[in-house]
Amino acid sequence: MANVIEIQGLSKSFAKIQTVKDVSLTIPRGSIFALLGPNGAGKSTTIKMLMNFIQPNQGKISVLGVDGQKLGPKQLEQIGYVSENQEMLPWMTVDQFLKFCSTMYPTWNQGYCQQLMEKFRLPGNQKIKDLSRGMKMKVALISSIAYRPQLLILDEPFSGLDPLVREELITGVLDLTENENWTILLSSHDMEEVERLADHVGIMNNGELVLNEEIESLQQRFRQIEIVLEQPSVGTIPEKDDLYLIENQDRLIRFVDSQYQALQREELYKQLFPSLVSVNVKVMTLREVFIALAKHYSIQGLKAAS
Amino acid sequence: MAMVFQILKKDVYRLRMWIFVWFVFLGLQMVLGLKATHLSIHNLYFQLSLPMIFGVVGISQILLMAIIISFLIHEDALVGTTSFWMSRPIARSSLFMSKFTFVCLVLILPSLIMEMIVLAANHFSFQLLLLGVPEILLEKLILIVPLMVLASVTIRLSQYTFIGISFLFVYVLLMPGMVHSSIFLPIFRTHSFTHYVDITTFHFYSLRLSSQLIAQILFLILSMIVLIHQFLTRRTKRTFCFIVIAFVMANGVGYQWKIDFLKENSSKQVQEVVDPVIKVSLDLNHVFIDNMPRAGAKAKKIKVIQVKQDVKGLSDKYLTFLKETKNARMIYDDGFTLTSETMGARISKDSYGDYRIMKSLQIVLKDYELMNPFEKEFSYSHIFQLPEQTFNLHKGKIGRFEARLIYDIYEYQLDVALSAKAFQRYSNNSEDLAILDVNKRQDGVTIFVVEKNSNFLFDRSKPYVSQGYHDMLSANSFEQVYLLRNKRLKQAYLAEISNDRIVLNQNVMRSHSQRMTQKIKPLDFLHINERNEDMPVIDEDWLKDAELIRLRAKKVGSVEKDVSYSRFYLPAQSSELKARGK
Repeated sequence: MANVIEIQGLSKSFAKIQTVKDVSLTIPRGSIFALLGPNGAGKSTTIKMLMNFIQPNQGKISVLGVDGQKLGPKQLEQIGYVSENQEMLPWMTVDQFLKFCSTMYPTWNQGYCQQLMEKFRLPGNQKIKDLSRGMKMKVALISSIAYRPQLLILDEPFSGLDPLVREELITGVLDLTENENWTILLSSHDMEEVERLADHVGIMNNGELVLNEEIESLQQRFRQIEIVLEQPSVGTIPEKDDLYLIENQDRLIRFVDSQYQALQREELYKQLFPSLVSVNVKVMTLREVFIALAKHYSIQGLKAAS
Repeated sequence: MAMVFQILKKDVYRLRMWIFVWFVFLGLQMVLGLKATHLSIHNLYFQLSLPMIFGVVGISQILLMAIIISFLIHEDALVGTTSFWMSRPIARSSLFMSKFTFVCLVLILPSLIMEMIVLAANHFSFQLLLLGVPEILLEKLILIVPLMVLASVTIRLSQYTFIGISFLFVYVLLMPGMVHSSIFLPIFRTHSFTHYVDITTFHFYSLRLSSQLIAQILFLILSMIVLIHQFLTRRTKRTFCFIVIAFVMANGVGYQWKIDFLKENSSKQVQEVVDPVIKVSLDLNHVFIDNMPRAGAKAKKIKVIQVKQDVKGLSDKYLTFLKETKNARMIYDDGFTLTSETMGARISKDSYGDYRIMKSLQIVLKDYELMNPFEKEFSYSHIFQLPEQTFNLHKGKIGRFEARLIYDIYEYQLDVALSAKAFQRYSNNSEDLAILDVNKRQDGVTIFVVEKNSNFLFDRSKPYVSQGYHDMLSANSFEQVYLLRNKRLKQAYLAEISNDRIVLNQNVMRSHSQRMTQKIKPLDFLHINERNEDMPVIDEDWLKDAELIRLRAKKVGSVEKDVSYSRFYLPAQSSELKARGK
């Protein structure tokens, strides 16, 4: 099975609001896929449909080779799911909860579970409802990885956590991905953690998947460009599809180039700005790429609306 | 199966405190069922408070059941997307099996066992106990399964409570109110809906029970299907639609059901042993007009015309009671016909304090002399009923009165004879009578008896008594008469009319079906009263040879007679001497 997850034409509406619009993506085995997007973009809804928590209105889903709507115990034995919203059993102690989870998974490794408990320094005899948020997430993570799932789905697991706990968890996941060949789907709007963890990224905006690419490739083609002109530019700067957020400040033109290739693009800049004096090319972080894309699509949306 | 067990274990642990409280209530109910008699007889406080305690325990049990079901199902809610089990390898069928097993093991089975213990301790036969099992199971499931359905389509206790109360409001208050209101009654009359308020005709009531049972079983089956559907698919909107459909279907089928399969055909139970050549006379010189406010709808006065009536041609051993007046009408010379409103069968509230009953009693007593007979005459019987407005329009007009009168005919038989000592007991399969105490007093003796009766839905041999009938049955009904007689002196005393003085009247197993009811009655046998003189003293010596007997009035037949009286009219007030009989 080359692809662990395959989604084709997925759509979902709640009342008359379309939350997910025609989303298609594939997640290959062994990859770490980050699903990015602002709040309300449709990330969690997409994941819930993957997990068969809700039914899509249209489209097909395949998870571990099985139709998403037929996801059953056999498949769930191989899937770990961690979400900030997912309930655990708050009245149980940590030990009781993990023991209860262990009965569900034939591949549960108690030694591994114990190891993780020590690593995260979790008190086994404390009730889950009495734990801090960070500790609850640790328990959720352990209960979802102690059986070494093939697919790990993390739906904004680190949001709202303090930096220390966040770092601890991210490091924990990183260690896991180094040692195990798991496929991970991570939903987040934290660029830093995505940059550290993921190798693929999908960006959702307003229910649509606007970008689906390897992070390396993404970072290679996006550049922040500053052009210095000999004379101030007069008139409107011609638009091009791959040049975003063009700012004209007298003799300084700033924009984002989404298809940067060193020599070829500089030729293009000279064509567009004949009085070009110098070009300053800056590598963008994933966060900067995401913001640029978000702003670009926001402007596009306003233009379309008007 | 392992997963079912794991979830069950988890739920039992989680709800252990609630389960404990539930068992405490069951235990309390059992203790009350076993000890209520003893508690109430010697302790006035318990006498007064026990009915309330029974009521509170019963209602608390239902509420507790509802709460436990809510916690059980909402612990692993089927609605929403955040429940723990959804992302875990727990098959929905396993989840359902686990929850249902919990309900059976914790809620249903202990209730059943508890009730069996109480019934057995009250000397009901094993056969009767077996008959009770399906009835109890049905009764529990018909409450539990819909509650499970409600819990399965809600996410928390508050939502569950709100929807549950809303449904109760509609089903218990709004619908019956609408149905009984004058707007809708004509519609429902076409389906004989008013017969559902007729609680006194055993045969018809049994038919009603049969149709109700069919509706209940169908509703239970459909509810189970809906519940399983919700568990397996989690399509909540669809489930809501199915709930409505199930409800409508079950009630629809119930209303259409016309076969009585629960009881032996009670209309054939009574053999006609009475010579049908009898005469009925209405004493139209003595007419009593009564006002009766109509229950349920707007308070509208109904005029009821009552006359004295008599049946002649029967042996004195037979008693007759006017059960129903059918097709009563007044036909006037101008062609107008005034028809009496439907008068359902009357509940036998007649007490035995009537001189005519004394004759029948004396025949059964044979050579025993009845020392304190009653001497007053029969009360008046209803023959016509109409709204006050119509009455006022037609009073005084002379016309022809016609009606079909239906009489039930009874004969007394000696039922029980017990030595007049405390703790004497009589038992048969389905009934138990015991003397609790013999309390000597200056003017006679008071004997406390406890009557226990079974009332099982599937007991084909016995008519099923409704709650309403049971409550309305007077302590002094002619159907059951207690006497104290001295075997040596051949003297007998009737129990005094006690104005419905019953110490304890309870539905021991608090349920709508009243499987076991218990009454504690004080029977006063007095040698000093206002109506009789020079009666032998009931003293210790007299009591040595005394036995308490019970006579039962057994229905031996019925007769229908058409009567016709010309020149009858609705008098303006009671007892006008105007009508002249045919």
